Amino acid sequence: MTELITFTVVGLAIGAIYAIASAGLVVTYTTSGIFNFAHGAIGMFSAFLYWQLRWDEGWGGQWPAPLALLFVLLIAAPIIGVVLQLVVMRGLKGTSETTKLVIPIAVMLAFIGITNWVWQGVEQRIPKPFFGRNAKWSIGDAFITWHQTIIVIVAIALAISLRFLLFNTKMGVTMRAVVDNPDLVELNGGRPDLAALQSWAIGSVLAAIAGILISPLLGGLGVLALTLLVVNAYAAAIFGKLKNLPMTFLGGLVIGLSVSYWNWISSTGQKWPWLSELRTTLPVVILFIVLLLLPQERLRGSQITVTRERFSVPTVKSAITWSFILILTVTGISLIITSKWEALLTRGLTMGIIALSMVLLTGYAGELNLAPLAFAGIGAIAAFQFDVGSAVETGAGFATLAVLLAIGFGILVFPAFGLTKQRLIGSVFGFSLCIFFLVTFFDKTTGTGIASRESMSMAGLVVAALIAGSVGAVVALPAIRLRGLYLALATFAFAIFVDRMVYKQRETLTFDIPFIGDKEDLSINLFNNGALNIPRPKFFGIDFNDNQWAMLIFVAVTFSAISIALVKLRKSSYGRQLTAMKDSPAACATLGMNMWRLKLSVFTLAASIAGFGGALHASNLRTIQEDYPFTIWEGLALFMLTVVGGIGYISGALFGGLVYACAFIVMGDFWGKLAEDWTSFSWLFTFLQDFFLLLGPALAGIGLGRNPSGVGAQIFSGFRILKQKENRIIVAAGSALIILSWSLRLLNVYNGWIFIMTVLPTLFLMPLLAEARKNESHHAHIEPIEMAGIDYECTSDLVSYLDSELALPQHSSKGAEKSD
Amino acid sequence: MTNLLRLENISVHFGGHVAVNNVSLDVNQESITGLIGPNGAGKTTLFNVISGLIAPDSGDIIYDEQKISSLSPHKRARIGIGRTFQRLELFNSLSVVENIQVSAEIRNQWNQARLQLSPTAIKSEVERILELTGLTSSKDRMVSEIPTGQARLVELGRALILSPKLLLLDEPASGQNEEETENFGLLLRRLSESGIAIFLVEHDMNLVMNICDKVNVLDFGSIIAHGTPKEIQQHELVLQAYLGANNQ
Repeated sequence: MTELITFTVVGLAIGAIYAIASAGLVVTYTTSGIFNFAHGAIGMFSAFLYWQLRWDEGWGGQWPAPLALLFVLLIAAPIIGVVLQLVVMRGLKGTSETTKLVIPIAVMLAFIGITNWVWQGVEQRIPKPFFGRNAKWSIGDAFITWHQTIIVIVAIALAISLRFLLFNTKMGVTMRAVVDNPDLVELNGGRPDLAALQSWAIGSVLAAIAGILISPLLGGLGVLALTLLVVNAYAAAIFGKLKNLPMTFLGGLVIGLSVSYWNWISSTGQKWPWLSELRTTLPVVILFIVLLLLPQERLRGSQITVTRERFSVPTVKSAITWSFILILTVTGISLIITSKWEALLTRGLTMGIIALSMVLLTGYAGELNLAPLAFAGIGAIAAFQFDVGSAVETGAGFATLAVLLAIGFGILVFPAFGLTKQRLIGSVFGFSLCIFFLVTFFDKTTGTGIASRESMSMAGLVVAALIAGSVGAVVALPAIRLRGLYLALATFAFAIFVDRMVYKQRETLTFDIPFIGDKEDLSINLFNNGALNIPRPKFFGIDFNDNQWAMLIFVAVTFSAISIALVKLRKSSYGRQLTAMKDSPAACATLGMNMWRLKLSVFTLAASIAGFGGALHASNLRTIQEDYPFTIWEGLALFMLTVVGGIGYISGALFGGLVYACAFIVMGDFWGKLAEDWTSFSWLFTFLQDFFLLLGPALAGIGLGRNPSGVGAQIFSGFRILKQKENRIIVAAGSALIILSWSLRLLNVYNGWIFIMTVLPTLFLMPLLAEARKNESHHAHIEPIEMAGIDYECTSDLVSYLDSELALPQHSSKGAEKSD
Repeated sequence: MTNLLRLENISVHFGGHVAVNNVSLDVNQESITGLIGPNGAGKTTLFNVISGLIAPDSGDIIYDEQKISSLSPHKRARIGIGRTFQRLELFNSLSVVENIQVSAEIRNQWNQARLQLSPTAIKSEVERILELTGLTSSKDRMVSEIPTGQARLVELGRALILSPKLLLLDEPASGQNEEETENFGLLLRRLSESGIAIFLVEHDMNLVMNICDKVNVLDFGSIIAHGTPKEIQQHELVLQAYLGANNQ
């Protein structure tokens, strides 16, 4: 009985905190339509701030608790909310669901970056509970701390005052009205903007309360731990379907109590050791289940609002040309950089391959997936376990597994391509046969055993892709009916699940495959004590283990090949159907499309690309750890940067991968070097170094609001002008300059930085020059265009210029219309 | 004329609001049936019920002598119910020709009974539809860039390429000019003569009265009149509720 009371009280206290946090989430979501991913991070930041004011012995510290609380809750947190709304969130009107998701993620990463920056060092920061550790009272033999008591009282008080605020004050009524129709509110003299500001301020205060209340329960302040703890509140918010506050509070309590009772039953993870991480994973498992059980919005027409995003598709021919240019550029660069930078560039390209999976899934098919790196991680683990590790002891077992996976993959993916039954069976059979030959003859694994290889085989990479694809299908199967934000949250839950239950798994799991071998056919130590050593591949007679250059070129070629395949896919019937599904699910249904099958296939395909890329990425790194490089945080950053680059384009994936893995490190390195060289300005350069390393990705993400189609597209459209005939001289001169600079670098005349300093400006200047020339030739037309035909003659040149500016069909001299 | 679609006592509620109230009506083969009524009368809701996007709270939908009330939208499309949308639901990332082509390709996926069409067969089928709807000259333009009148034709073409037996057209003439509307009326007549049953929601009274065989009038979710265009034009309730009593 005493235990029951103790665990119930602990559960109620945690649940009350989740309830408070999720109430804040609901308030901002209902008034602005934005799911604030940064909510947890705001709570985390506030907890750090409170700790600084209340407990730190350095600057600020040692304020009395009420003063510190007043400052954080009534000044700092509302300001954060208001500034966020004014500077960032307000610009999200009319953008797609992807952009609405990415910007708050960027804000979250920004808070994590700022906190890491301000509160550097490994110093233990331990906030004390209210009235100290020993302030408690008892029910029977069970002790209840004052901190717990305060949490529950605060939650009840907040529930009552939120209810009062929303239903009995003018401010609350306006806030609720804004949800239904902001335009109508404005017409009736209300101020939707003001209501949004108020709700962001309130939301931010609620996050801060939750952060401050929960931090003493954790032992010490941790940036990621605190952020994620409030993420647990997402599940509670989903309980209330993101709008119903009482249900949200109930959801918080259910989650808190479940976690607490699980701790009790499992003796805090002592029993069933392989489930030991479940105590921290339970909330996201609940989140996933609640999402699945939630009645979904039905398909209906006129859901699509016109968004600012527009993606055009290149031809296969131009994809091939660009791939060729990419490989050439990478080769050229590789000749003038050291192997350290080659490794970094390889990292960027393998991340680019993983990002290609998002181009397919999110860019082409419109399905949001926040777990790209979870699938990549599964690919890496699969390559380790089934190829270089010792999960399957015999080659025969490996071959069987590979063929079974191939058949499964074929059945999941191929039907969506619209094959007839005979062809379908034929292609599944053919595909499995190919895999069989690859595994048994090409890689010669039959009978010899493949345990503990020193290099990864082609078969290993393929099996990694197939296993990741299968996991993708298993995850997609229940989640397939979810759309938009709900799907994003389900994949987010999956990514956290993988982070905790797979990467942190220390137990050896054994499985029995029926009819084969003895009772322990598969015994897997999933994540080998927190680190997996994954060797480089070795095929075509090339050992990539000691040849970074070969690895780089191989990865560049692979990236290009997958890109061309994706462009071809997008241009095919399958690609058109994906686009149709993205643009209008309702229309697809009324044309007879079974979207279920299409979604399952594209999920499987995308997960296998991610898995393949993950295995390559891991083997390039040689080692992966439980907390690097495939965690949820890295995944969110990669997702965000790919969206920034333009998730509908191959170039977006390239941008996302390279910027994520290389650019900020290169910039950090650059400023770091300057700091070393110019000691008198080292404070400035160290500041800039930290700035780029910690805040670079976040700021890139926040900047997305300005250009929702992505920077990749913008850069490309900027360069498009160089295709015109009259600009050939600029292209020739620019290329000559770049080649000259490259040659000088190759001959070691100067170092890499000077090379970059000459090449980058040249690249930027080329389209600018062309643009300037164009403007010059049209200068006469541009000034008072409305005076054409009055002040000066309206020439045929002017007409065709106007036509081209207005994107009208050009009038040729014969007067016949020519479509453009 | 044989009956193809029959609605029996269909009712739909949105919360406390009754959108469709106990509606029964018939759509016959080889005919054009009109559905008119003021804004908010429940016309689009009724179309959504027929195509399966909204489940009715009560009542039955009988199509081709079978109850289809429990079929999902895509299955209803597969048995021959095609539709267009009042608020356009085009595939905005695709061009005009691709919009129609993808529809043919989707049909190719589910049409097991017929031999599947080869890419060239699909192409000529698409060309035929483009010709029929008069979209050939703008076939390579993105649908997001063409005028609304043409966009409605793209939706019609997209539905037509499925060879539907029943075509639900939701305000197909809005956004068309007079000449376009006239041609459109002729097109609809030709389609109905070729054996397609057309169920038409439209605000252009000239079009409705000229081409419909039967007209149903919906007001506040209930059918207040049905009959030939001539009967409807003289129906007292209609004149009061819809055209305005003063029009007499």
